[in-house]
Amino acid sequence: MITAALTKLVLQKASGGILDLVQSGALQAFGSTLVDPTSRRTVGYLQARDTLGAAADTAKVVASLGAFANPVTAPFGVAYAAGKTGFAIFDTQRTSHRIEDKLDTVAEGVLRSEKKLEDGLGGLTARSRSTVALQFLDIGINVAGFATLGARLDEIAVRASAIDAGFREFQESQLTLAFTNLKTLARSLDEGWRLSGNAATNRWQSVASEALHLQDQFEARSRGVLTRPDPDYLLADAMLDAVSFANGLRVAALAACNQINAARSAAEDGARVLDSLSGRVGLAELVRPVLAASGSERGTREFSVALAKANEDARPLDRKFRQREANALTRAAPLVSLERRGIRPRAWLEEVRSLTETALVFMPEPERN
Amino acid sequence: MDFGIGVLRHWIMAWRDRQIIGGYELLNSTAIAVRNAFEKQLQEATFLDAAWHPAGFANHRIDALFCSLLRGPLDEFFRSAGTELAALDDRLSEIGSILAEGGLVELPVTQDPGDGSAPVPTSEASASHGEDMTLLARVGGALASGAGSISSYASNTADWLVQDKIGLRNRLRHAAAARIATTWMGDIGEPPPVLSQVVRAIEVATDEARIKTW
Repeated sequence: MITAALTKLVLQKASGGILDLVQSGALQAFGSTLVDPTSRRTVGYLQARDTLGAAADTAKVVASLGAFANPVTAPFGVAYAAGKTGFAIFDTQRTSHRIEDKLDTVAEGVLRSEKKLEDGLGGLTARSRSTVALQFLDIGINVAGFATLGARLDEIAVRASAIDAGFREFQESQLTLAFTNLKTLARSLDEGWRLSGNAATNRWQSVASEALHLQDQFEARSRGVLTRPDPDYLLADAMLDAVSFANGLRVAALAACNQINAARSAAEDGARVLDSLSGRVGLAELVRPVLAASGSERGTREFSVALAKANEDARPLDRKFRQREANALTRAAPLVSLERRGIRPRAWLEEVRSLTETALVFMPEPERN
Repeated sequence: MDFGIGVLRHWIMAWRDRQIIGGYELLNSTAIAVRNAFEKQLQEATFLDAAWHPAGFANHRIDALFCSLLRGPLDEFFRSAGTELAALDDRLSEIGSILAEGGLVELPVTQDPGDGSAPVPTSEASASHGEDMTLLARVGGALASGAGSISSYASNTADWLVQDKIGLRNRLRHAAAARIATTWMGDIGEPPPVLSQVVRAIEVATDEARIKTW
């Protein structure tokens, strides 16, 4: 029998020393899993809480993201969150550039303190900060409330509609419907936490089933985008976010039902799907079309410069592909540890949800003999 | 899939991207050196070379220069790439060894025509005697053999300043650039351009490495 005290014992705010260790390279992050690079031992798991709640200071969340920006750990794609040139995530392109400049600094690991980043973020709009923070929700099992999940989904849908010419043309299309359904599921998952007993379980089982259907739809859409002769990788990125979002709902719903094996299996499925979609997409794919468009003649210094620039410009998106795969691969990692300790996932997730004062939670993995 | 495998597969992709971008850089920097060396060889060009068959003058010279400048660095490129891949994980040592051994890229073979001029690629030498001989080449050849006086006149009297002014030297430069962009740094072609062969070798190794780490 696990007491509430024990459940609380395995949760810590991760905004302090843990992130310092990651930033210094003493710990390495792969998705939600933190590893001691010396012993290669898993030391614990990160879990996103909620980045838009009243208690969550978005700047601090972004600062936490920055903490991962060291050259060893290939950090979260925060720089990408600022968007590529001409990619209208944000209010204005000007805003986008301002964010990009600041977050490029983060991605290079130049930033040494949270305070400095918070100061730097002072000039950003609230919406921009939120958008950056929303990238963060993919860490661990989804416990965010609907307000946050809905905002995340809107952000993905806006990117898809901004890029996909066909999207506007078919507003009532399958894609629009799929995003709407995904949003409904996110609301339904959140509502499940306010139900009790079988009602909650039934709700979450229904969410898991529907989320699988939507994951398949977005997988097909992503594959279609990626297998075009001239793939649009920004559109693919939005579609892959939707795949990951749907898979995250599945895992969260099954974990809330205390279905550990099913949740792990769903997470593995999501990881496999994302690997099959984007695992073979890297810098080379992202650089080639940019180089071709530059019109630089091969065998010239101009070509060398264009190659270097295209390479640097493509890194944030490449990093985001890898980060999403890592998040999917480690999404259910804490469940095994919880099972070993006899803690039921639902109790643990409830506890995570109750920690409204933090955006990021850390669960240490006890050293085993 | 264990997260350790995930990390390894990400390393493989990072390795692959470094090699492909490195391959582009290697070929491009070599091409820059080739262009500079070719510039000096332009002095050997005659009026007929420039006017009638600039590719005939440029192609084998570019190929010969590229071969001499690239062969060593390319061997080192694959040796380094293979060693780096093998170091990632024991399962990748065999693939790494194959890469490090080299011999995965076929450079255009050149042969010395024996008359003191620059070596001629085998494929071109055979083409000039075969069915691929173009109308332009035949016309140019006929003119070259039947109009020695013109050739002599052009090479002896027209100075390079004049040739530059009328753009003849640029015709040779364009021919060299075209050769670089297709035979050496092209993405597709038959036979496969050298850069595409480098990329292909890395891609095949990447696919094998991903299969071994799934």
